[in-house]
Amino acid sequence: MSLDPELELWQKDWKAGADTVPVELASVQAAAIQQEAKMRRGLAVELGVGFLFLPFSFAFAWIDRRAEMILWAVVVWILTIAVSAFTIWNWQTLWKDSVHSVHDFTLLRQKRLNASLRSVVIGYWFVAVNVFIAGGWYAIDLGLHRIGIRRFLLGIVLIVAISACFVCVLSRRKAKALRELEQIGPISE
Amino acid sequence: MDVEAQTGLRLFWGQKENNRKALERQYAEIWEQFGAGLSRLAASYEAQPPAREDLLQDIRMAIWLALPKFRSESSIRTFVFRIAHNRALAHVWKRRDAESIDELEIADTAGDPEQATIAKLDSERLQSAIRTLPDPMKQVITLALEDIPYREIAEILGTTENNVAVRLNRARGLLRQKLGEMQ
Repeated sequence: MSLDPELELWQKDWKAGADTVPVELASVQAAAIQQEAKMRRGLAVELGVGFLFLPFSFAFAWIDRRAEMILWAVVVWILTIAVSAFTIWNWQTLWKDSVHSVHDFTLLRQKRLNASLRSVVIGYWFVAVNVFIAGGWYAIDLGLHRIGIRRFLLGIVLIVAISACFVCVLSRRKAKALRELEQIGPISE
Repeated sequence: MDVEAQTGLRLFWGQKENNRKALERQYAEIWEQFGAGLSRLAASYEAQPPAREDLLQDIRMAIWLALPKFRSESSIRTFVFRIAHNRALAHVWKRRDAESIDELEIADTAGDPEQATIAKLDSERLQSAIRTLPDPMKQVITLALEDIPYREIAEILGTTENNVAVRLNRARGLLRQKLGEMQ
């Protein structure tokens, strides 16, 4: 590139600021393994929270055996697996995007964050539907004297506790995605 | 296991070992060739040495992880600087607050100030001014200062040569203004 005097001067100043640090491949490899392990742990926590619902829904359906309870358990399983599949896909593609051009990388990141926000909305619906179904049934059962007040309260506490876990994870994910989207800002051509 | 299978296995592992060694060699060459440029790039995004080192480590890892996928469709320099700028952006996007973006003062004059040469101070002043530029301007000016041709800058950024020229022109104007403010 032909340089004019100003750019040439800046280039001289710019290159004077080089501090080449020798790279130890072993430490980079170790850091890569560590980073991967950290990401795996994060993924395991997210999936763990998602899968909290599965044993409960299975246990409820197993004990109760009513058609509506089995239907509820099936809905829980399908939604949990769908949300988990999205989490795994998102995690696997995280590092692959870096080889694209800066413009494409930014677009991909933005798309992924928007997908993440959509998954959060689905997650909120998932929690709301579950609370509505489970809470409703408990209320009906209490009203029809099929269960006592103690069992009703225990059930409600369980539902609230699990839902609170979900809402916490979803809110964190939403805040993170919104913050990053704000940082990215509008993409120029 | 018969002899043929054993030979096959030895060849397979031998091939894998050779590939790994070739990758390690290529990685070392990349750092020899572009290490200084990548350090400067990290300094243009992060003022504070610990954050800069974090970013540099992220870039080192990303290049190492992506290297097996390099298919010579672009030059190795394009490949390396694409990854580096992308990781730098991801790093900045994830940063919770903009603690080190807006600082205009010269950061990190570790060591004795008396021993700092004028060239080093000029260089740090330039780095500080570049750090305050918006990302698209920062990318184009840092790549131009690395003496990378327009065509390759366009390839790294995923835009046209014309856009590079326009962006560079704007970046230079802004940089001139920032350097003026710092005097």
